[in-house]
Amino acid sequence: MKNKYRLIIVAAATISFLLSVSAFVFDQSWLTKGWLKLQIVPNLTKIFASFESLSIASFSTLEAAVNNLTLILAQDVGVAVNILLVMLLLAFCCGRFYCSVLCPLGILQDIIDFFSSHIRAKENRQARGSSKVVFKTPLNLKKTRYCILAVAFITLLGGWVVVWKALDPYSNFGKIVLNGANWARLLDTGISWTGLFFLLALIVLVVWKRRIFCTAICPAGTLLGLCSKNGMLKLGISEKCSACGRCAKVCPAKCINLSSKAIDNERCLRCLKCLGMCPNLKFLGIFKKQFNPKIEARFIASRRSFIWGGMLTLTGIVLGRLFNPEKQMQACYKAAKSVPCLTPTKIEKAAYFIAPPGAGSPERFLAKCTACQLCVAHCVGQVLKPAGCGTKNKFSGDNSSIHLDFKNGHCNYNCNRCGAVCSTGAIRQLDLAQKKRWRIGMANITYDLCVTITDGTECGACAEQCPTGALQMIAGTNGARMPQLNAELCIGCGSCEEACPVLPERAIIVKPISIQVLADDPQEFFKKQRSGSEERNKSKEWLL
Amino acid sequence: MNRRQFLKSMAVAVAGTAITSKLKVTAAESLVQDGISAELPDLVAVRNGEPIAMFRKGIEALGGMQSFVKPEQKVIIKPNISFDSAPERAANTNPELVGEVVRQALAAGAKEVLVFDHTLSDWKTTYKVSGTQEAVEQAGGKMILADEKKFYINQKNVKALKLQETDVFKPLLEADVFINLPILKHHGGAKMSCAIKNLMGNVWDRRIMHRSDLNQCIAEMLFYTKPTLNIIDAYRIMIANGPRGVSTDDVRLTKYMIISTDIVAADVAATKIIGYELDEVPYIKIAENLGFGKSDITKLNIARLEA
Ligand code: SF4
Ligand code: SF4
Ligand code: SF4
Repeated sequence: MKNKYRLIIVAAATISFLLSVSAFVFDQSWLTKGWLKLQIVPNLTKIFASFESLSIASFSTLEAAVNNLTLILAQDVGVAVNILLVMLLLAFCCGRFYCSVLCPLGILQDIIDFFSSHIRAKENRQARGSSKVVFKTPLNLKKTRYCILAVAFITLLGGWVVVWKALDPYSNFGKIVLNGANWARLLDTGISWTGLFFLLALIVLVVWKRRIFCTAICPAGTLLGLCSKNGMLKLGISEKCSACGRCAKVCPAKCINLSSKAIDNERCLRCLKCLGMCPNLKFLGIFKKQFNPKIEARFIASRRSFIWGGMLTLTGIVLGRLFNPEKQMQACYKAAKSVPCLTPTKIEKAAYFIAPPGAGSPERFLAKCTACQLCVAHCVGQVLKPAGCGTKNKFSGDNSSIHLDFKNGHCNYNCNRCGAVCSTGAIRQLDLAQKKRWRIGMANITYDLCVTITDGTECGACAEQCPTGALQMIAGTNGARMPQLNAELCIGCGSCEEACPVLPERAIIVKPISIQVLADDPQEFFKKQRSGSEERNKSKEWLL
Repeated sequence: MNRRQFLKSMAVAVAGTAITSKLKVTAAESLVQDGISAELPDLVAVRNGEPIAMFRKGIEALGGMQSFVKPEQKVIIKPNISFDSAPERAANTNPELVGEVVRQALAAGAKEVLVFDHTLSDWKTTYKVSGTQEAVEQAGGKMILADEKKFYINQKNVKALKLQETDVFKPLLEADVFINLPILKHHGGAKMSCAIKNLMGNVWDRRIMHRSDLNQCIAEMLFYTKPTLNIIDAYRIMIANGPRGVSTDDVRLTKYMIISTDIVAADVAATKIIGYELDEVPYIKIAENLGFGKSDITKLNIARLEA
């Protein structure tokens, strides 16, 4: 490679990409809790997720609200703010290097582009001499990206991450990587279909217009672009340029305008492919303006754009407020005064799944999770599944989000991993003592199916596994001891469901619940039950 | 094996032999004191000592580890390590004891000593949190993974009534000596979990056993895997909320240990320690009827030793 700047970028991007992929494969906290924390969207959503502590009304009981508040205070929102600010500041100082070396999806696009440009180059060679190269002014698509960003932010203000979930580069990279790098666990976790579709769409986009996703769609990119637009260090072209077009041809962002001889630093991804190709193209000094000032077109606040902006804001607010699943559920609870509602609405049905411990409620999780699949990749019990995956039972709804599935595993009692790796604030970090009492579902026994009733033989597979003692084997009605559930102790970990030998429909199934709360402390519970502990070895006599 | 490991295991072996030969004398002495004939007992009960001390005393009364483990043999040990809870919770066999059994097996000349359990909680955490991994590795044994179906092979037995086929842990079938090392505890489904119940961890699919008459299936496990020796850890026992237990409140310090080659007799002795009637734990009787041991321990030659 002739271009030494590009060499540095490629080296950095390769390392960064490998680290990001590894974070999904290897169980290393410096990767999951360190490296991935540099991604800007999770930090952004985390900051916004912390606002919810202000709306205590969103919790059914005071206890839930207090739990929630203490939890949020414990989350490192300050760190998220700092990282976000640093990233934006970096973009202001030297441009969108984030997009070329830190954003895993950006690097993935470069990889796809590498292969597709080979194909393109071959075609070009075949068609050589047939026509003269004509340079069109590249598409800018300013409105598109500003619209997306505006809607994304306003819905986020309404508490809903929907746009980010769909378009956040990091989360979508996660969905892709879950399928790609995690082959070994694909059978356990299931395929993330959204990831697959996103990858296909991305390939189409890249083959068609290279990194158009980054310059026209990606909300994070637009945000960084706004910072780098009038930033300190710009790339520029000198007046000596003869418009040979070599630089424009390599530029994946299509931000070099040869008719005006200027580079759009808002869209420039700092891949530095063009640098070193031509002496007329270089970094200008600190705060130096470009040769052709025309490109520094301001966003002219015409009446049209006012109307546009107004409409957008409105759409955002409407979307964020009305269709936010969390808000809808709150209205629903208020009306029903009981949890859950007797006649499930469409939203409630969608929210009928078991959310990871620390998510608060399925609805909150739907509203806050950007589905980066990091928790799925790292779930110790291998029970977290991507949306749409896993087996359905008579209680599960649409599984329209990441959810727990207990058919082949249970949520480990000594584990709080998912909350630890989640960087978007969707799963809050519970400390282990809290997690052990954190109810995410409720076991439900169908005695008509239970072995101890149907066959009259001993079983107790469920009680054997129950970590909280919520299940006890009591004198049964058909000769054998049968399980009895103490709902106050059950945390919905699914150990019982996994163990129950009755197939295909198990005699004990964990039902989703509307709000996660603290269950009773089993130790206290059993202490109260028992009085006077007799010491069996007190007697001098041999017991046998 | 590198040189350091070799030296280490040599040192352990030498130390082990020294200890055992010293113990032999004392054990024989105490047997004489207790007025028991020099003939080896059918069952040894030891009490009031720390797990390692009780084991040393008990195994000596049975002629030492060398009467069960011959040089160059492959030994496999199956403690009960089902749950990711600490030793104080008494859900898993005492790790110190597991370590000591490994050490003695090696000292008796075993080629290799493997330790495993088909854990119920995630195996990685369970091996670690239970303390077994550390104890075994320090003693020179090897913890092996039993968490994938590929480690099991299908076995059939026509004599069985319910459990006519099952997938058995392969290394167990390949071993020369199988030491069953359960912990005594309460069990929701089977009333008591001890020596025979511990065998359930030797197979892949336990669901089917729960599905088709648990007690019968537990007893029939003996058709597939019959221990050479049973060592029951009743130092701490779980008397409620078993087999997992909720907190240390479920645990009592009893300081007992049972060692016997007769698995039925060993389990009967265990019922006495935990305080259950024999017919509360039906699989013991079933196992006796299948011919795997004697449940009337009053007819047995029992050595009762104070550690
Ligand atoms: S806490 Fe449960 S759901 Fe979360 S990672 Fe651990 S096992 Fe998986
Ligand atoms: S009853 Fe089932 S879901 Fe509830 S705590 Fe016990 S094992 Fe977990
Ligand atoms: S595991 Fe299933 S069949 Fe067995 S006792 Fe529990 S509910 Fe009944």
